[in-house]
Amino acid sequence: MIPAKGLAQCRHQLGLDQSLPGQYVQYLDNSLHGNLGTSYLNGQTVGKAVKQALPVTVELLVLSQLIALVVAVPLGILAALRPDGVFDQVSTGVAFGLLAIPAFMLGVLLVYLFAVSFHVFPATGWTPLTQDLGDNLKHAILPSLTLALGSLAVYMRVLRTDMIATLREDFITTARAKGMPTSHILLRHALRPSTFALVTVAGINIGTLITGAFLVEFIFQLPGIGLLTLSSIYARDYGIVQATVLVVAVGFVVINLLVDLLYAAIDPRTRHARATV
Amino acid sequence: MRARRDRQTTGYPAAPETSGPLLEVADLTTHFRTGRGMVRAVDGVSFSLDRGRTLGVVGESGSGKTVLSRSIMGLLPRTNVVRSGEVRFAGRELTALTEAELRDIWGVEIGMVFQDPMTSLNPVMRVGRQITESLRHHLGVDRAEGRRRAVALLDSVGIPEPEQRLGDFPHQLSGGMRQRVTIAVALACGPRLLMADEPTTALDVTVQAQILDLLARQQRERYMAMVLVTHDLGVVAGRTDEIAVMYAGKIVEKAPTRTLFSDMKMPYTEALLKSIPKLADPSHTTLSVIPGRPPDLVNLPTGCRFYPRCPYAQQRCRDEEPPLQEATTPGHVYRCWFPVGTPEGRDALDRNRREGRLDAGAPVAPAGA
Ligand SMILES: Nc1ncnc2c1ncn2[C@@H]1O[C@H](COP(=O)(O)OP(=O)(O)O)[C@@H](O)[C@H]1O
Ligand code: SF4
Ligand SMILES: [Mg+2]
Repeated sequence: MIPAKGLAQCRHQLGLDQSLPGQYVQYLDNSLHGNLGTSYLNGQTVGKAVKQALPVTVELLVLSQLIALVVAVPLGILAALRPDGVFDQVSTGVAFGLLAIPAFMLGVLLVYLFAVSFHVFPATGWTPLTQDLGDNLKHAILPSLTLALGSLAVYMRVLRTDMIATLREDFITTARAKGMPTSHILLRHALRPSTFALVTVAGINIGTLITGAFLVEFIFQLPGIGLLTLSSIYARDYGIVQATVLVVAVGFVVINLLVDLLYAAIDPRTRHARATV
Repeated sequence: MRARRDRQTTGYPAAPETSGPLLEVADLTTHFRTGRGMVRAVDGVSFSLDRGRTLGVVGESGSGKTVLSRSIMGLLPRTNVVRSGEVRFAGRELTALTEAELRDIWGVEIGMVFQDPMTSLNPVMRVGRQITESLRHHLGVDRAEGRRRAVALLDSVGIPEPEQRLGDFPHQLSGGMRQRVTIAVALACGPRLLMADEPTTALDVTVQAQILDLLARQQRERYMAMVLVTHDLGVVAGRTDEIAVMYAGKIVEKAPTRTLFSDMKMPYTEALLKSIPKLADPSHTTLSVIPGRPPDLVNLPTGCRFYPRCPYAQQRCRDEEPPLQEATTPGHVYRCWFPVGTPEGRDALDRNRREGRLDAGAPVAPAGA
């Protein structure tokens, strides 16, 4: 039993004796000054905990998206080149297969294959990027791949659809009539105007991806934001939960801002439309 | 890559000189396999075109003009196309070439201008790049030289401040300016043949004449042959050496331009001519449109394909397909049993009028008049 006096003192320290709006204003003020409070459990500042976890999650997200794009873009282009051709049909089948498998299943499967059976990559754990790059990547590859596969399938399908539409455009015929090689037409003429939907979907996907990252961090026991949040929820360490939710929300907004900027970079028409408004 | 180096030094392709016409199309047929059946878009077309000459191809929308020009180029869909016949260009049989081989002809020896300048330029690529990319690819010129030539090209197609325009995107230019750009694109590597598919259809009337004059000037100055495709007989009137009239995938009449206007034999050509609005006409003059619609290219009528719409049509037209026959003027051919301006034609028209079967060529008020 906590003595009543200690309880009151604790309440006061945590600001729980203030009115709810008062608490909220206090919280906003602190947050904006970079003070996210302290962990209820070990007294560590929340800021420090988040700062340690964030790079892990960011690396996981960035790597997974890189993998997804690096694989999806060429596959999407190839599939669009001959719609309903052999390559298109096989890749479509594989894509829907990947989409049908939940991330946690994929993760466990990959762990079983590469960590348990072949010992190529470690099953769990983490080495920070700053400590040892090679070791870091070794730990990051399986989780990133797990996270990437779902996105990859979606990105490939989205790009394929837009690419097929673009390849029917008149300006593609113009480029062909100029005698430009197919690779040039695909990469220089067709790819850029075919990426609007891809960018939009990638931006929206980030929400799903964060949920996915939580799961993947849990499966691979990576000390990222996801694992931090989950363990804090179990421990009822509300200060940390509050902070991680904030971080995720800010991340979401930032990503959407980037997506908007990307639109302008891809399409000069939106750029000029904005400039004249 | 010897050819490439040759061109780099002369600036224009050093192609083998051959005697005879530049372009010879013989019995060209292009059909599409569709769910409804075979679409006979081009059905046995023959003509030849000499260096530096212009041919107008005229016909209603859907008569196969676009398919014909693409079929000559070899720019057709990859699947469900059946093409036969011959296309000899500068002594080479284009139908025998692979797409990779054709790419050395496309843009270099044959340039193409398309109908809609709003869609035929890449919206996310700067105008300069769209001109220089083929120069750099085909002629191997460097960046600076490409830029220099692009400026000269834009200047020659009448675009003011060409240096500034190089950095523009297509949407920053007006429709007429964009069409000038597409012409510059087509002319970049100095082709010997220019295929212009309805180059003014999408433009304002005032701009149309400018673009047609520009094409005519470029064609003369470069001693380039040109195929000018249009649905508007008025467009080709003063600007071509010869005119081929297309109907339902076939050339139904072909003649030197002047002859075609003074001595047309086909009722279809006559109907087309009647449907040209004349600027001199007061705005309330009734305009003749051709009644009915072109035939379904999947189920073509037997006999003459114009039969269901022809004011001269007789029973014979329904039973027998008229062969291509020669008129008195050299180079004038047509397909008709009852030609315009002949006693048989006059009789046929009179008979139809007497019997009240006159349904084609009837004057109707233009919409909204
Ligand atoms: N890829 C295709 N598949 C099937 N039919 C086609 C295709 N391209 C053109 N056609 C048909 O061929 C006919 C001629 O078309 P087109 O050459 O575009 O006419 P025009 O240029 O004279 O207006 C039309 O009936 C059109 O529907
Ligand atoms: S008169 Fe007969 S053959 Fe001549 S265009 Fe008319 S229908 Fe055809
Ligand atoms: Mg057309």
